[in-house]
Order: sequence, then structure tokens, then C-alpha cells
Amino acid sequence: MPVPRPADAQHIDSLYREHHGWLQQWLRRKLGSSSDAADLAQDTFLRVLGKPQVLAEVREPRAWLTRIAQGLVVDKVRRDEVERACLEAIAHLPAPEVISPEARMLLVEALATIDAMLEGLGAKPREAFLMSRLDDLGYAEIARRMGVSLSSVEKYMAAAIRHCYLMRQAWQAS
Amino acid sequence: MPSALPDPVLEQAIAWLVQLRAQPSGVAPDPALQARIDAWRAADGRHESVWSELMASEAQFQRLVALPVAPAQWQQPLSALNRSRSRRQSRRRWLGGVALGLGSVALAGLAARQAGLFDSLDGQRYATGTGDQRRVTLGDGTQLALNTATAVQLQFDADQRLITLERGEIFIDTGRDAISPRHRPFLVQTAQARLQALGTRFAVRQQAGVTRLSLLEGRVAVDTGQGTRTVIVPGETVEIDAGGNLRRQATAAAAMDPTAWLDGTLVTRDMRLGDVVAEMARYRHGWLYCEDGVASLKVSGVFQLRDGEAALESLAQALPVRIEQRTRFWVRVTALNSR
Repeated sequence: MPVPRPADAQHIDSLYREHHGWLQQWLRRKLGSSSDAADLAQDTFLRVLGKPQVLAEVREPRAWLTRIAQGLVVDKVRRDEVERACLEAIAHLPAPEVISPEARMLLVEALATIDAMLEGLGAKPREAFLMSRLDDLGYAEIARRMGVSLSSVEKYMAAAIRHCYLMRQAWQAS
Repeated sequence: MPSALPDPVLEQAIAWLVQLRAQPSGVAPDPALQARIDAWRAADGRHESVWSELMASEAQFQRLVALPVAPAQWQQPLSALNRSRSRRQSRRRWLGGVALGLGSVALAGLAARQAGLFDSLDGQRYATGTGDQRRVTLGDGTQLALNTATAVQLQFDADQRLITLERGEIFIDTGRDAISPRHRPFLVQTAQARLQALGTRFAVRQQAGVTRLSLLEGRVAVDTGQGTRTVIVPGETVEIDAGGNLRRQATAAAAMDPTAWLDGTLVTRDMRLGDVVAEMARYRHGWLYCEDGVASLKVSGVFQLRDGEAALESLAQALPVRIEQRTRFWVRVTALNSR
């Protein structure tokens, strides 16, 4: 693990002083909420802290910061959407099924991750893949339920696995 | 949407995985298929690395399935999301994957937001779930690595840098504290002791009733709150129990390499199978158990932590045991000839 030099710490410090206020304004315009904007501005700088080696080479700090912040906005929108879907589902369940706030947080996190990973995958591969991985069904049963051939299910699986792999690569490269 | 040139290794790995998962998890995969996959993975380093990437995606689904909530809790939201996604598919562009929700930073220190960046890291908590690992660089330059199922709380102020290890295992490479005008002491608090790092690299693990410390570089002073301080030197591993007793041992003589997890591996030397299985269980959801009859068999080897199934499989190949797997989350290591 690279140890940041003292110069990096100064870099981050001056980056924070010069751009934090501006970034927070930018986020507030996007999100319409100042507390969300403050949270995401903070998260953006936390991410910057994790990339000291990149920091020294940044020429356009505001463009770079907004690119990171934009990603966090997309993430937050997704999370809010997933959380809303969870709350709606919970509202329809009998009382004993209601889960603790901690378990719900984990649930939202896990669902948001999966949702992000499957983003852009076609509806049929997505459906088939979720039946396999979450409902633990075999391909024959999936083919029966979807009314398609076994070889179609195999194609859907391959497409979904390939998609998840490429999404992970894209994520790791960023 | 991501795209790439066709990659023959990736396509082969996908083809194997498609075949491997044709049946529900209750049905054991064809041993001949499994053997062919194992041989393919072992044939080339890149085969193995692509395969473990596929397994990392699979782990995200296992993480959801293993949550202590009724399947209805996730099935309904997922199908709702499924509907809304197919309506708007392709409208939203993938933004370079900048911020997938993988990994979890719980931000607790936001109250100090206005006071400046580094101050706001005080009071922060970092945590990992089962099977996850995480590395962070702290404001003072310290590198902190969290192993599976770990939680720490940070209190960095003008006088000290204190990390409280609530559970799990961490590795620390202390920074020079460049942002503070003077050198602040670096402390790790566990349930059994307070450890003071004196410019150093070390691993700390919190187990039930025991703290285990392994030192790679520098010095660490151990204070058990009973008026004595013991200084530990590199190459030493100490265990501190609730009574404040220290058991010192050469790390090289230990049955397990205490920092191999940083490379994603479990490295054992004549370690009891029962302990090896307990160690593997730390990285997976569900129930993994070793039968008493085989628990004292000795195991030496290197196991990949990211691929728990392969690790178990290699135990079955090396020892007279078999892996009884009722579901992905109920696994027992048992004698080869038991029913």
C-alpha cells in the first residue's frame, strides 16, 4: 500500500479549502437539499483521500471533483429508489415480518449493489439470472416458467454473467 | 453499457459457470465437470483470476440470499425495480461505474463537517461484512486494512490517534502524522488491552475473550490495565486473555500466517482441520462446520479466501474427508466413509 507523502496531505487540504464550498453549492442545485449536498460533498472528499497518487496529476480539480460527485449522486438516487421499493414491500407484509433498521440497511445495500451490477442488462436475461441466483431454480424450471427453450436460458445466463463481469471491470478501473 | 472485445478466457470461464449452475444448489454438480473446471483453472494464472472475478459477482447474490430476512423482503422490491428498469432501460447511461454501492463507509463524523476535512474523520466508523475486506488511508497517512466481519471506531484528536477494534481483525501501517505539528501517540483499544504503536506495522485480531497481536516491524507496547507494559518485538505474536495474561510465541512457529489475509489467502502449517474450517467460516455466510472425528487432522496449505468453495474442495482432495453440502449455506466437513 502506498504511503501518501506529506505533500499529498497538503494537496488534499488546499483542494478542500478551495473547492469544498463550491462543490457543495453544485450538489445542492442538483439535489435540492442542503443536508444531502453536505453529505455527498463530504463523501466526495473521502473518496479523494483514497486516491493520493491520482491527486498530484489532476489538472482540472473542479471537473475531477464533479465527476466523482456525479457518480455519488447516481448512487444515491439508486439507493433512494431501492429503499422506497423496500419500504413499499414491507408495508404490505404482516407485522411479524417487519425487519430491524439494521437488517433493512444491509438489505438496501445488497439490493442496490445487485441493481447497479445488472443495470443495462436485458429484461429476459435479468429475469432468468435472478431466478437462478436468488430463487435457486435449475435451468429446466426457469425455461418452463419463462416459456422458452433450455438453450435460451443458457444464453441468458451467459449474457448476465458476462454483463456482471464487465460491470465489475468498469467499476474497478474507475 | 459496458462492452469489450471477445475474450476467449472470459468466454470459457462463462461457459463453465453456466454449466456448473444448471441445477439448483441442493443438487451436487457433476464431479467430472467440476474436475474439468478445476483443471482449467489450475492450467493458467489468468484462468484463475478471471474465474475469481466471476465468483466475486456471484458473492453479491449470496450476500443478499444470506441476509436474515424473509425472501419476500427482497423478491418484491427486486421485481418492482425490474419493472421500472425495463421501462426506462437505456435511458440512463452508465457513468463509468464511478460509484457502485460496493463496500460500506458508515459516516458518523459529519457533525464536524464545518471544522475541516481531517477533523471530520474523527468519530468515524469503518466496517466490513462477512467475506469482505477493505483498505483505507487515514488523514495522518496511516494505512488501515480491515479483514472479514470487522468494525473499528476512530478517535483522532489533538492529543492522540485512537482506533477501537470492536470486532474482527485489522492490519495497521502507521503514518508519520504529517498533518499534526507534533507526533500524536497511536493507540489500538481492544476488549483486553490497549496497544501503543511505536512507528510500526502490525495486525490485531479480536476473538472471543482474546486479543491477538502480531508484529512485523517496529515496536508495540501492550498495556493490560494492570500497571505493567510489555514491549513486543517484530516476529512475535502475543495473545492477551481477559485476565491480562500474555502468551508470547514466535510468529514463525504459529500454525497460521497472521497476515496472509492481506493477500487474500489463508496459509496454514500443520494446523488442525477444525481450526482451518473455523477460519474459513469467518469468510462465509451460513453454517460451516467440521465434524469432531476429523477435526484433529493436520492441514498445511495455501487457500484462496475469495473462493470458499474451491478452498473446501481442495481440503477434500488432500484429506480423507468429504464436503457435505445441503445448501450453499449449510456445509459440513465430515469423514470420507461416514454416511
